[in-house]
Amino acid sequence: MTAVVHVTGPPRAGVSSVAACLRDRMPGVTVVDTADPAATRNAPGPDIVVFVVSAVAPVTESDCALAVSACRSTDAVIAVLTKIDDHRDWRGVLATSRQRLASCAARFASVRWVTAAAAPRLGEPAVDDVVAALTAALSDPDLARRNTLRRWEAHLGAALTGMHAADSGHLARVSTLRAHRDTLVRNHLPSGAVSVRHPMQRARLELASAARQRCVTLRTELLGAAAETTMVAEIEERVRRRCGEVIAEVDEQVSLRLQDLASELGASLPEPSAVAEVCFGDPPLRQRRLESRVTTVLGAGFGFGAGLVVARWVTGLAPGLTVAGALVGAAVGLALTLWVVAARALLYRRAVLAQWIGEATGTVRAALDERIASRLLAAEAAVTTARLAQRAGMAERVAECDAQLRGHVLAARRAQALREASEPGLARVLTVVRDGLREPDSTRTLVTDR
Amino acid sequence: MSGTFSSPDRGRHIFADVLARYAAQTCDGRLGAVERRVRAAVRVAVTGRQGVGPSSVAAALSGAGHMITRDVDGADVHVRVIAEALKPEDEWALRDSSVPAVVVLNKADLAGADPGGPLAGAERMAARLAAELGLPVVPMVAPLADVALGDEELAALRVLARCAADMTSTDAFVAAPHDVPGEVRSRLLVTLDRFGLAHAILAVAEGAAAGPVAQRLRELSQVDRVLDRLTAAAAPVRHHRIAAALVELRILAACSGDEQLAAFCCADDTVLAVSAAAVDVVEASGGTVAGGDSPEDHLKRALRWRSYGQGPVSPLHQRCADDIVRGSLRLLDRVR
Repeated sequence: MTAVVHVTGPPRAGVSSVAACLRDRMPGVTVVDTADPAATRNAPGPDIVVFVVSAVAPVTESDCALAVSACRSTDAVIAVLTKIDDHRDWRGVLATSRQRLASCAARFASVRWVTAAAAPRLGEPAVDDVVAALTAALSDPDLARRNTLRRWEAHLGAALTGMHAADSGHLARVSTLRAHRDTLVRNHLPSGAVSVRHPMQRARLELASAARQRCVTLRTELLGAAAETTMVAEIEERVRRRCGEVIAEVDEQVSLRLQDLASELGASLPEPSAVAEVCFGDPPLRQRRLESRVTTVLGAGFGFGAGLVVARWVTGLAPGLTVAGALVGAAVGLALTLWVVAARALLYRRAVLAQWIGEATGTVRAALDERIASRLLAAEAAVTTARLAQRAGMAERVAECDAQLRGHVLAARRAQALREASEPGLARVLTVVRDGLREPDSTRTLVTDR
Repeated sequence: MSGTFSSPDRGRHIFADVLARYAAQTCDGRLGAVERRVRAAVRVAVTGRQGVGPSSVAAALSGAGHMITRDVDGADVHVRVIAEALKPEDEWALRDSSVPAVVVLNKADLAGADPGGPLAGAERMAARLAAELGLPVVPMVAPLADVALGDEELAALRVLARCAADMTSTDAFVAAPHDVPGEVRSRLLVTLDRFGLAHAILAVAEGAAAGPVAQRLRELSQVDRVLDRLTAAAAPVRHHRIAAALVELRILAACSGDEQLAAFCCADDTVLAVSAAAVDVVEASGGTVAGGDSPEDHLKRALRWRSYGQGPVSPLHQRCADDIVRGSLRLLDRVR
């Protein structure tokens, strides 16, 4: 079986060039360039890791972390400082890099450092030192044993870390769930009903007051119009139209206020029911025979008297005007009689209209009150139902949270018990493995420690 | 006046000059401190990993008149020096930076084998990094920015031009036998490195004296490009300083009842100077402000920047757009 060498390092350090040179110079060795993802995917585990860094500057913490990760399961590591043909200060870089890598992990203190110029701009590649170091490392009879120990160390370390991670994962999940549960409980609103009722009451008061004001102004407006009119039909039509408009206006106002309330309370409100037609009836302009007769008699009497006075006055102007005086008196008397009768009839109609307007605005107000009350009641019912549903959902969520919490606490206890049971054994084996790695050649059986 | 809309870093100087002229006319001693603050050098923090050359970059920038500091928080612009590759440490430093940053890809002469030469390779890498980071990345060979060659070095270069030395590696150049003493070669290597040496030898072979050789090396160092990027990155700082100075002047005018100073704050020259600083800012971030001196040009520019300022842009760009609109309208008024 051929030895496997992984060549790795930070980007642009010269990994590919070193790998290519090694492939040329060491045909009996499988060289894997880790910069090539396709080659790395199915590559066997390394016997030796060649860690390549550039001489441009000393290694950084991230380079050291990469070295630790790349050499986790392999004991044999050769560090290569490349591009020494380009960088005149490569000796200083080598010293600093050696020191930094050693301080990052104790095992790297004994790593062998060699230099190379794998892709020089002028001349031939210089990788003799790397080849020599690799050859020496591959011929080390202890290589397989140390690599096995290093793999063991990596496995044991991963197992211990995994147990600790599982432990802390469970604990973190438990604390997250607790915080989530606390938030749920805090958001549970015992004063939910009150917090709904108050804005609703406020809205009801505001809307009722606005509707009342609107009805008062409507009544004033219509009475003013009725007091001057002579056309009953026109006024009647106007009253019906204006009342309808006011009902629609107030309904619109209620809708807007309810929308505000909905956004304030965070609930969706039901669509309003259609506005019911308000019936006003007709103005009670009934037949009034007796009153008409009385008015006619009084008007006729007043007209006769006035006509007599006028006739006498005209006759007195000149002696030949007797006939003319009688005619003028009769005409004036008739005109006055007709005017008095007509005026009385108009006043009557106005009085009836005023009364009817009062009744109509009263009907509008009652209709609006009813409308406001019914819509607010529907809104309150919808909000309260939503709140109750929310609370029921919250209780379910809290119960689910509690169940999860119990599960995680149980799992955490199990994981802790497992860790406590197996950790000392694993730690003991790890110590033995590390002792084995420290010793140059050990013949002890590692697992049984005999 | 079209120059107002085309020169980087002109805004600061125009404003400082306008202010100085006004101070000289009115003999107002209070304005000296304000002018000094506007003219003050931009503080540049130069950081980088050990070995990538932050000190040589800092020396080159310092030689160009910048105030260099180590403290990124107290600086106006952050220059992060990298070499060969961008490491996670560099990314962290750039992410934590609270001021405008410029990345200098130093040691561009050692960027690796490339058919177009090392500088072309470095240029490509800089473009890739700039796209990745969203920051300006400029290649540089910092040690070549300010080279002073003595007679002995020049004589050695002439000998090297006549009789080629072993240039296969830095060690070989110093160690291989040659007519030029090893000590001198070592000194030349420290000063110029192999890339600088090759170009200096070529220049000397063509008969160039010490001055032209240094000039050629300075061009190769790309220091002027770095300085241009730095100027562009500092444009918001300068615009901010000018805006602060104007606020200071207005307060001064209001407190002392100085109507002449208040008039200066909204005079044509002042508005145009502020506008020039705003142009620096938008051009530094990749925008273009159209020039032209005809009334149509000024009107078109004003309309264009008015709609730009009303778009989804940062508050700084909104202010700059307002300043450009104001400047353009003043110019329009002037040419009508």
